[in-house]
Formats: sequence, C-alpha cells, structure tokens
Amino acid sequence: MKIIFSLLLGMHLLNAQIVVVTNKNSQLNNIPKEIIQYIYLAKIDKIESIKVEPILSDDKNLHNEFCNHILSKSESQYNSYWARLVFTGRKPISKRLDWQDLVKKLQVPNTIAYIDKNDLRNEWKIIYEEN
Amino acid sequence: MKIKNILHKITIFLLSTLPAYSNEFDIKTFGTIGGVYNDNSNYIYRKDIFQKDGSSGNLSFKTDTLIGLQTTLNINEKFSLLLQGIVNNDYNDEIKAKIDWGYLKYDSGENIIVKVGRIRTPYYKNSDNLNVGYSNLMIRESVEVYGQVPFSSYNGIEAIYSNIIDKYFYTLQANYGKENLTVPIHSLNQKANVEVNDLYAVNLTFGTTALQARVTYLNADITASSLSLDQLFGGLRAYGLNELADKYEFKDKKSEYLGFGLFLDYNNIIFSGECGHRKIPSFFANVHGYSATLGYSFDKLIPFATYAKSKMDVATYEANTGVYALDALLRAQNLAQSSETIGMKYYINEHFDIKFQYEHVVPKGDYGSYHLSTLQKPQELNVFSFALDFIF
Repeated sequence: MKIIFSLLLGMHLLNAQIVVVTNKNSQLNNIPKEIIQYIYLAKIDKIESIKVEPILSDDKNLHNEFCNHILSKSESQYNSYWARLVFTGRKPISKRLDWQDLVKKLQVPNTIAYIDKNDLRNEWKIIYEEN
Repeated sequence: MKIKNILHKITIFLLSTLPAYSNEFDIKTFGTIGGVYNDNSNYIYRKDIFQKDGSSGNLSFKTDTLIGLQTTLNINEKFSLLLQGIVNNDYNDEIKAKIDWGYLKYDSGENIIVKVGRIRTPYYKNSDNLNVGYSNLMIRESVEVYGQVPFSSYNGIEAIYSNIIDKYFYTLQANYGKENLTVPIHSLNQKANVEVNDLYAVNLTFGTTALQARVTYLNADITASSLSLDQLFGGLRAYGLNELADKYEFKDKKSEYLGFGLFLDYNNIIFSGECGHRKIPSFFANVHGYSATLGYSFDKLIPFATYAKSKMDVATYEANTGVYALDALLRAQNLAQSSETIGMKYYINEHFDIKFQYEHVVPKGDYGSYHLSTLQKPQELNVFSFALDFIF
C-alpha cells in the first residue's frame, strides 16, 4: 500500500508544474525568470517601480522544486543564502505559509507566490511559467 | 559621545521598548561548536591575527566556537534598529561577550538602504557574515585573504543601492567612518592602539544569480602606537635616523586595501575566488593574497577543495636596517604562507549543519605564517577541523 501511495505521490510531483502567480488586480504582468530570481534572492524588492512582496510555501516538495527549477539552487543552499541575508541585517526570515495563509496573502496586490499550476484560482494570474 | 555608549543606549532602548513593540521585536541566535587539531606543536593554529590561543598539538575548541545573538526592532516600515553580539575566545585568551555591530537602518523600499552606527567593513564577500558558520561553506575563510586587515567593524555610515540593468543586477555600497581598536602583536607580546580615521570604502557587486563579480576599495589614515613602538621610533629620531623612522613608523599613514572576487553558483557547481592587496607604508608591511574554492552540491552534501596563498610585497624576514629592535619588529610581520584545504559541508536541516575539513599549511620564509611560532625556519602544519553550526 505504502509503495502504491509513494508511486502516486511521485507521479503527482512529476506532473506538478510550478508557476509564479499574483492577484489579478496586481499591476504585475509577465516577469522574466531572472527577475523572479532577483526578487526571491532579495537582490531587489521592486519590479518596474512596483514594490513586490514574495512569499514562500511551507509545502516541502513544492518549495524544493521551486528552489531547484526556478532559483537553480538546492533547498539547502537557499537556506544558507537566507541565513546570510538575515544575519547581516538585510532581510527578515520570510515565514513559510500554509495554503490557507498563502491564499489570504495573495489577496494583497503585488504579492507573489509559487504554486502548482493545478491549484491556480480565478482571482490569480500567472506572471511566470516555465516552458 | 563614544560609540560604546551609543550602543549601550541602543541596547537599553531595545530592551526597554520590548513590551511596547512585542510584535516588531525579533531575537535570533546563531553559533558554532568547532574543534581544531593541529599536528605541529611548534605553531599555535588560529583563525586570525587577533587570537592568542588555538591548537598546538592538541584538540582546541577555542578557534571557531562562538555563540551570537541578533536583535531587531522594527520601528516602522522604513526604520529599524539592529544589534548583533557574540561570545567567543578573545585576543587575551578569555571568553568575552562583545557587540559586533549595531545600527539604525533606513530601508527606503526603493532599493536603497542606509545604516548609521557600528558597521562591518566590507572587505570581502563574507565580511558581514563571517561569524555565521551556517551561511558559509568552509569552517573558516582562508586567512591568506581574510586575515590581511586587522579590523572588521567601524563607526560611521553605510549606503547601499541595488538595482538591475536588463538581466543583470548590481549593488553599490559606500562607507565612511572611523575606528579605534587594540591590535595584539602576539609574536612580540605587545599590543598596539590603532586609530583609523577618514575611512572610506566603495564596493561594487554585479552579475547574474549564477555568476557575480565584486570589487572593493578602501582607504583610511591609520596610526598605530604603543609604549614600545613610541620608544623605538622616538629613539630612531633621537639618533638622527629620521628617514628610517619616517619609512616604518605607523603614523597617519594613508592605507589602502583593494580586493576582487569572482563567484559562480551554476548547476550545482560552486566556485569562489577572492584576492586582496593591503598597502600600508609602515612596519605593518604590504601583503597580497588570493584564495580559490571549488565545490559541488549533491543536494545536502557539498564537498569542496581550496587553495590559498599570501605573500609579502617585500620579504620582511630579510630586513637589515642596522637597528636590531626594528629588524625584530619587521620580521614579525611575515604573513607569507600557502594552504590546501579539502572538506565537506552537510546540511542537516534548516537549523543545523556539520562540516569537516583538512588543511595543509606551508609557511614561507623565516618567521613566516599567520600562525604563532617562535621558529625561525618554517615548518608545515596539518590541521583537522570539525564544526556544528546552528541558527534559530
């Protein structure tokens, strides 16, 4: 049973396509991958004069996939990178949000989050999608 | 008002306002429990020139072990007060607590940050986070580059501007301030009072998320004095050796540091290269050095190898000024050495990592090396280290 469950979970992850979304009322539209990276690496906090708040998911697999595919870093390297930012006074540690909090937070315009494309809601729009 | 008083007042302010700002007040801790074994008992292996004790044919926990605390008070969306203190083994071989840095930060939300207070000097890529082991790959950075300049913080102001051009980012950092500190000269069992005035630095980092380059320039007027130094140079002048005194006395000397760095983090390949050149026209002789690290990330495990080398611009151990005391002082400045390191970092989770590394150190020239010894002719060192880093 456990093996079947693991296989199903694995298949689900294989099918998961990560997209970066924001509220439909946001002024943000298509954003290049490099800019998404700079925002999540805290190199910049504005895109085209718009202040952006990036949020992190507490879904471990999703977060891992995001680090690997969008940021091109392992999750552990990303942790290390954040430790560097936090303990040099640059940025506070962003709390990883569960799904409900993430949905709530995305009501605020110009907040961005990465999700599985299958979970996309009507009130959101995709600003980055890996081809 | 002295900066220590200001920091003291900031600490009291942070603590007294804690109840009122409980939602905006944040405390974080970090630290390292590290052990070092150096197989050559003729040398005391140490992290930097400030340390007095370390490993000398024994297992020492003094070199890398430390605990740190960081407090942040967010006054409003743009202003915050930050303070970081550490407890470690100091240059008197005593375990002491000290405030490492603390400042008022203004974050414009427009990619501009301004800090006023006690600030880390931005010589190297990891200047700011040297004490936070969890954020670094190696247990300690190569002393051949990171050990060149004997002060790590100053009192003053820093402005940082970051932005992007097309697909490239850049960060421009400017610093101005001053610093007073005591620098131990362990090899001569002396201490020098050092005054750093009109310190200014500029730092430019640019590149992509995968490849970054960094250049730093720092300039300051520095004076180092102590009873024995004053006697030595006063004596030279009394005997009419003004030229010699002018050349080597460390008084209001325009001092410079120039550093370059290149960093790659691409497809699990990690490369880090830094080089630096210290120019201080005095007995505290000019030195240059570089280090290169190559690693590969197997998810949680990162093995790495490093080569580093430092060299004096002019070999101080050949000093022959005709004044015995001055020659002894000059010889003690020899920091020439090379080292090869292999090691690994393993991330346990988002709070802990463990590291192991082996370092082979080859001092160059008489009285050479960053590590303390009374030997004239250099000997090699084999150094084994482990560390457990944590953040909360």
